[in-house]
Amino acid sequence: MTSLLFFVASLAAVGSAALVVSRRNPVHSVLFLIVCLLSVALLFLLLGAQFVAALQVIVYAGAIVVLFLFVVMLINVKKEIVVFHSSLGHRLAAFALIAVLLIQTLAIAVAGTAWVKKEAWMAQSGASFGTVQAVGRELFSRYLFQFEVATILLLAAIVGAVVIVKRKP
Amino acid sequence: MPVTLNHYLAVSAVLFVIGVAGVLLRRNLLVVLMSVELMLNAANLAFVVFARASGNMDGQIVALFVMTIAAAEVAVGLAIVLAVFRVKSTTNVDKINLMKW
Repeated sequence: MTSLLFFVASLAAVGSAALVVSRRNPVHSVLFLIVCLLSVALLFLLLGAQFVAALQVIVYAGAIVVLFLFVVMLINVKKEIVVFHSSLGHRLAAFALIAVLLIQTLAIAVAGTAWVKKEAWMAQSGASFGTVQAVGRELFSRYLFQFEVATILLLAAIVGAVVIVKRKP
Repeated sequence: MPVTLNHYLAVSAVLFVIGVAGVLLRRNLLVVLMSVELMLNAANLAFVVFARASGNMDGQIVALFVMTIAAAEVAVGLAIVLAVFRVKSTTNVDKINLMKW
């Protein structure tokens, strides 16, 4: 059952990601991005990361993508005239780079994890692995400093976004 | 066929490369930003996979922080897109080349 869910979720994630980068209409791209993010949330659930999966749905698919949609609607490009790069040399170089990157990362992903046992790769962990309580306990004890710094980063992002968009009077 | 670590990492790798393809090939600035989000998601997936493999919660905490940083980056990036669109009336990255020599 979990392997069936894994294959469905990974096919949906990869397929919708390919559609995100290839649609002419940016609104379609955003909608396929939602599908991709929800598939990745399902993958997180299969990996026992319940809190991260819930946050993926709420924060990523629920806030970030809505922000994208706002800006896409404001800019209102209905159909792209030029989809891919105009220069053929650029496109060939990009395809070569992408092919090399794909082969490299797949080689590492498939063959480079010899230290992990093949079948029983999931570590034995308690029932509290990935729960809200476990994440909260780690976040507020070991990662407290990083948590506070993330607060300041969010403040900087809010102020920066408002300042950049503000119209000069 | 049992799903091993390598399957998940392969999914993460393919998602990342699709994101790179979007950043390199697309000319619309908004789609480029969406491809960056794809890359961040691939990295998050890799973090959570290794958290599961090692039994350590650190990977999920880092994935949380990556999500926070992605939200901040999207906010500022979209603000920049709006500000540039007001001046240049386009989101084509080939036309936004004021700083190019």
